[in-house]
Amino acid sequence: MNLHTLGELRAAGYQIRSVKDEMRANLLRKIASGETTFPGIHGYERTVVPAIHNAVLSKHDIILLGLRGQAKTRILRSLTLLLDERIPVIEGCEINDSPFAPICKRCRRLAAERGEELPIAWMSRDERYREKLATPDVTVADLIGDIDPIKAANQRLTYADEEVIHYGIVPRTNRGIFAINELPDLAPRIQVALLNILEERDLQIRGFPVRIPLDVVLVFSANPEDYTSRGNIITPLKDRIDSQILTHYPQSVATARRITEQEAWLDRDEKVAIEMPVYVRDLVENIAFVARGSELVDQSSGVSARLTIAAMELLQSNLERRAAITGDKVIFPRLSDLAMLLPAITGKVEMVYEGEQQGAEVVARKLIGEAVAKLYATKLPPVERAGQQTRRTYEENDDLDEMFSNRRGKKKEPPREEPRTESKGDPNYELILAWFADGNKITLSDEQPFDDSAN
Amino acid sequence: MPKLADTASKYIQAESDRELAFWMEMVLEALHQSLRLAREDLDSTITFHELMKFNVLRTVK
Repeated sequence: MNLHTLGELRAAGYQIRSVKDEMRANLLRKIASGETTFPGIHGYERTVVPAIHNAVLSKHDIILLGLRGQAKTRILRSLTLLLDERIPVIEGCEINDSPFAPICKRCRRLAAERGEELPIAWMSRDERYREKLATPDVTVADLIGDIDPIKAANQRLTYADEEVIHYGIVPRTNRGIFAINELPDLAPRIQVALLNILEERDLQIRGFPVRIPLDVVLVFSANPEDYTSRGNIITPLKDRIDSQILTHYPQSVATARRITEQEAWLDRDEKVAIEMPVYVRDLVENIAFVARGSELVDQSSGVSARLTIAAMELLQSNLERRAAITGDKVIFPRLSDLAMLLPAITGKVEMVYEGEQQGAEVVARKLIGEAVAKLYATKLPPVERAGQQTRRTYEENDDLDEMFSNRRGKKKEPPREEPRTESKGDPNYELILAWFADGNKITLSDEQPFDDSAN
Repeated sequence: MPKLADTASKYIQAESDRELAFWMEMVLEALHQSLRLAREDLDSTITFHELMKFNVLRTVK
């Protein structure tokens, strides 16, 4: 934009609108043109994304509530895409005052002095997004502001002067989006300071007789686990946040794979050809799916999408490492590579008491084992488990029910209707087992060259 | 080992020997998870043994 003064801006017919109006109008335009509103977010197309759209259209403040690794922060950052590319602000203003309606004392004075020559600057959408991670040391002064005694001394101003205020991060995000990550970690007395901003849209500093009407969209992220383990969101604050949107993990393996492929560092300039079929990628995704249903894993903590991202990166690194050791030019994953995924799993899976008793590594190996079982079950015929044949024979010959048909008041059940097969699975399984029964064994390593391994 | 490669290739249209080898490992893993074959994990190596003998020897140790 080549407009540099208020007069030029006015002559160009520029209309100022509030952040929420701006986001609403831009969103409607994007939806109508079929544009993606949250690029890189997968699996939320029919759940979270429409909920956010509705919240923005309703001009709501938003809290995203969900377990770890559900793209909450990424969504909040993507909200900037709903802002105009640039907006005019009064040049040098700490709180991004609108040239048409300055609110801070400095800009009011400047506007009175310069009139139509009031200098303006253009602020990009990225500059209008500020984020604060709620750490225990955050103070009201950090968020809202405080009196700056050095400023007062340097400029020879009394504390009664509005210009001695040092603004916090919220007023500095005026006319933008302010995000607080992990809201429950913010001390309750600090959360109280946000109440007025949410409801009255103004801020009060140190009982100062100044009310600054802010134009800011407040967005938050929180993990339900934190409600119990680390902190809480005070109820009046929850009440004032208009839309609470629940996020979730990907509902299908294909979506999860898409997320991992997007986020993991897999496009490397390795000198070897790495063959990574889709079913191996799905196997890695299934580790997280299995963990999310496991009784050994604490489900209230969740299993982050970061698990499979880290696991895929480790898998690829292990293949690269094998290629470097063996000199193989083409590398394909092996069963033994999966043991190398443990570092991606053990730290990211919180366990319940039973899981803790077994140990993180044992649980991680079980999760991998279950994911592997899901894979081979898609292609190979089932293997008859040890003891299954014996049990069936025993049940067939058990005539106790016949002799004591009225025992425990039970009536004799009709014979099972399911057709009986001779033996489940492939007949070759027995031949393979016979080879092992002859005292043979096989050792597989992730560091063997392929030719050795194949032999 | 007899029939291992045959079994894998019967169910998998492997595009390379490496892929076939992967599925041969899967057959062994399926036998292990069905409690028909013992599996011993040492460092990053995996050894498949006959189940009964392996368990008896492990008890003796």
